[in-house]
Amino acid sequence: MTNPNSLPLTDQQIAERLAATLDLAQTQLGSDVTAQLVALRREALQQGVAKSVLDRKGNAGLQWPAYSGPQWAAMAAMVALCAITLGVGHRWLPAESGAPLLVNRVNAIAPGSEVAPETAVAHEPSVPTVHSPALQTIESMPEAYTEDPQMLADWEMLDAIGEDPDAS
Amino acid sequence: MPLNAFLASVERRAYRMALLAAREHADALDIVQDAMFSLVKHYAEKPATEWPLLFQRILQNRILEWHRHQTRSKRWFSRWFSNSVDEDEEDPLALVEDPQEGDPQVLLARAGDINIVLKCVEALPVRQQQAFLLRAWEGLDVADTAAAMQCSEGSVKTHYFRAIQTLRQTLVQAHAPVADQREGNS
Repeated sequence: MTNPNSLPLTDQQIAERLAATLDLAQTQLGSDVTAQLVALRREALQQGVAKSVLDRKGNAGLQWPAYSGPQWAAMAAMVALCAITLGVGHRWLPAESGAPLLVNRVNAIAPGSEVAPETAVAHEPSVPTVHSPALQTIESMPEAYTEDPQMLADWEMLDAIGEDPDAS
Repeated sequence: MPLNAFLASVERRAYRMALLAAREHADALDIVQDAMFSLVKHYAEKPATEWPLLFQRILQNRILEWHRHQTRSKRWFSRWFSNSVDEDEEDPLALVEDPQEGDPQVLLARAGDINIVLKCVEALPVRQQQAFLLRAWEGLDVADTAAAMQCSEGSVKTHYFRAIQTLRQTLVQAHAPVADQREGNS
């Protein structure tokens, strides 16, 4: 006959024994630990209750207003109208109030400029014009000069060997 | 049941669970307080019958968060200052299929020794530890354990099975040096 004490333990038996031992371990918790647990429980209760009251008050202010659908639509339309107005208005702003005029004035008083400052101020182009001497030189070139195949080939060759075509 | 009484009834076991996972008294207290605070803040108005499972869920979450944070810190630390690799999640002992079975009587005696049991449970990987404590100690069924651990029931069964196998193995190993010592003395 097999001795029941020699049978291997089942998982259930081991688990039950371990659980009983853990229960036993709980009885040996020190009084200082118990006191700390009581203190932190009280603190958690006080803070938790206080925080939850605060949250309820705070959340009330952060909730979305209870507007109806048409009211939301009207507000969205107003916002869109404002955005369109601002966008279109920005495009129609007069040149005096924006950066183009500043560029114009700076160029107008640059050395070698052909346009007098007072002319530049009076001239109010919708598109800013640049009056630098270098640009005027390029603009004054004949079309044939830049479209001549031989000239273009020369330029490409000079570009390839890293020389400045204008240096010659 | 008022919330204060409920918390008083679970705080010691919660502390033990946190201590087994964190192994530091102060950290365990922090985890328990966080869990209590969260329960009071978010679920105080829930029916009292729901508090135990909610509290377990919060507590296990906090333990897992703490463990993940520690693992991250350890990983960074070990990357710079040592070559050790954290293998906590993949315990090779848990994968042993046929652990050496010791004498049942000695095994039972070891399983009744508080210090040995605490060390063995402490050494479990955190998910196995959670599954074991919730199933065997708290007495939750598989579904409630899965809810508390926020994983599938299949995962709970796997973690629990591995936990028991690992505990059985470590209890046998805890027994071995004593037997050797006895043989050496005789």
